[in-house]
Amino acid sequence: MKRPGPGRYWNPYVGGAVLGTVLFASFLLTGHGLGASGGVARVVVAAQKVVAPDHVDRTALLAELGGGTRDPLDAWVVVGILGVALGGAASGLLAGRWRLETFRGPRVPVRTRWLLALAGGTVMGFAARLARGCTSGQALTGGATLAVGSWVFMLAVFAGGYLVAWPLRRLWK
Amino acid sequence: MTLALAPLHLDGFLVPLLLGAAFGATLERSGFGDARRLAAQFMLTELRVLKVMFTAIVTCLLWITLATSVGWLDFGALAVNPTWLGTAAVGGLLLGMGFVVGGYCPGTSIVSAATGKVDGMFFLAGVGAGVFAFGETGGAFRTFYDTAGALGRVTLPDVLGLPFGVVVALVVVMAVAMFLGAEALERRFGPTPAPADARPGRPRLARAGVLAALVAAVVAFAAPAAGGGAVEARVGLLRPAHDATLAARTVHADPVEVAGLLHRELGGAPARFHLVLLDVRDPSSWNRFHLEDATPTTVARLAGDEGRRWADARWATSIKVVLGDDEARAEEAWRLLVAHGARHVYVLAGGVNLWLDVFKDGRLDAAPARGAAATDTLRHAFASSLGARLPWARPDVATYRRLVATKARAFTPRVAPVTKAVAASGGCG
Repeated sequence: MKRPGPGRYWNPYVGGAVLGTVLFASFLLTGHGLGASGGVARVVVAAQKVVAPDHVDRTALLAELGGGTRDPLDAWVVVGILGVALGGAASGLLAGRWRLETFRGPRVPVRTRWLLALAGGTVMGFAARLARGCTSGQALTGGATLAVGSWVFMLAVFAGGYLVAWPLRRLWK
Repeated sequence: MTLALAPLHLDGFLVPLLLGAAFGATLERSGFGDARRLAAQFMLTELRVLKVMFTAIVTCLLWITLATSVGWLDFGALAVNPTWLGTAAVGGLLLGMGFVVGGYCPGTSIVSAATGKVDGMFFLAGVGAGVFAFGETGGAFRTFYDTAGALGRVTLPDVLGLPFGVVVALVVVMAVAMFLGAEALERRFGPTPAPADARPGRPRLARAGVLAALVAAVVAFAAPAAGGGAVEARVGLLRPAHDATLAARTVHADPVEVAGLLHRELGGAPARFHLVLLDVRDPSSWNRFHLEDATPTTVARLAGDEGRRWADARWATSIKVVLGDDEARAEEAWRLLVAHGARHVYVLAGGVNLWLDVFKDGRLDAAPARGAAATDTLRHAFASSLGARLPWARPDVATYRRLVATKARAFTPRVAPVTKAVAASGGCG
């Protein structure tokens, strides 16, 4: 048995098989798949509702999640991302991978990496709301139920990534 | 006695929390908390993202194929992401670009942040900012968001015109081909030596994996009920149990008891419940005579979406009575509704024929037609088609109370009082 630790991950095919089984368990028990960006969106709307409840009521895209008496946090996907954080943290701790550090390409300074992460995250948060889901809730979940839009989305994600990979190769190589 | 029909709709707190935790732990163990291992997908040095994602999709698809084929899972009741081709394409392209810049996706950044990675925390903060930006500006392109290539709940089997199992088999074959290609790309572009956890496992094991996937593809190809037909399969699965229930006549409600239901009376006393009368007879029988407030339908319709609707949470606490001319057709409808997961479903004993024997002809000792006499056709003659405009469509409450009080007609009460509704679940993100 290999010793766990930094950089000692599961064989990707084993990880995929476990992930697929967790996803199936979700369908069996709840009728829907897994999600991530939807949970973040609801947390953000909940914060906006605290600061400016009238604005949430008047903005259609926000009101859908938290307008009026609706509680934006009353949804499985919010509980789900709490679980993702707890499960991820527990797994990292047990494998000796919990450490305050910054993952970056060999040529990228730490502060630059932080800004790039912030920028990439911003683009992705916007895109995930536009596409009504991210890699979890759209590509993985929809892919496993053969949803047409999810397969288009998945192809588009890989296309978008490879489109900019060459010009941006210095970020990671 | 009856098997619960999956999905079980367990959307409280604990189940989503545990599923989320399993999801997060699996992402962490698969190396998805490390931006370098994720971004490597686009640098072609390690195709871990593709391998994990497509293995997961194939695994889940094969589980779904198996579970729907044997009738444990109703594919039609699963939340399948509705399709918007336009937003999927534009959103997907943007998301892919953000992936290369930031190194994570929303789910993996949560795992990364939760294991102390500062870049993951910055990324997650960015996701929050992006979501905020969309909420504030998305109204400007609302028409595009709502209508761009909107197709609704549509799956690859629908658009390709192929059976579900055949599409699953094609996906498996495609995934195996991509895995072989990914291994070749890693040998070409990957670092030498490869990271210890990225080296291909023992070749014999890998070959066994490929073989198992191809066998699974063949099995999926040959699974006729995959991705649907679950209800028919479940009716078959439940047949022995249902045969026993129907033979014991514990779900056959006597006409007098059903007449009480029309007046919201149960066991000779007022009760609070919602009543659904489902009439599965031919239109000619319906036109000649039917019960007041009955809903006309057919056994075929109850096998599909309509049956699923009566089984969903909105009608969970409604008392449903199925009406036929005699009992055979109504019992088929009963089997379907129960297989869909509906509760509080009953069959009108003796059907509309016995109903008319009792209320129209006043034959209080009449019994349900049996054997060859039960033709499942309307045996009472009517001069014209009066539907529900006859007094027997809704015998008055005094008649019902008198029949119960005087015990003029002997019957065993079958309809059980309904308790409180279960809480409805939350919405999708």
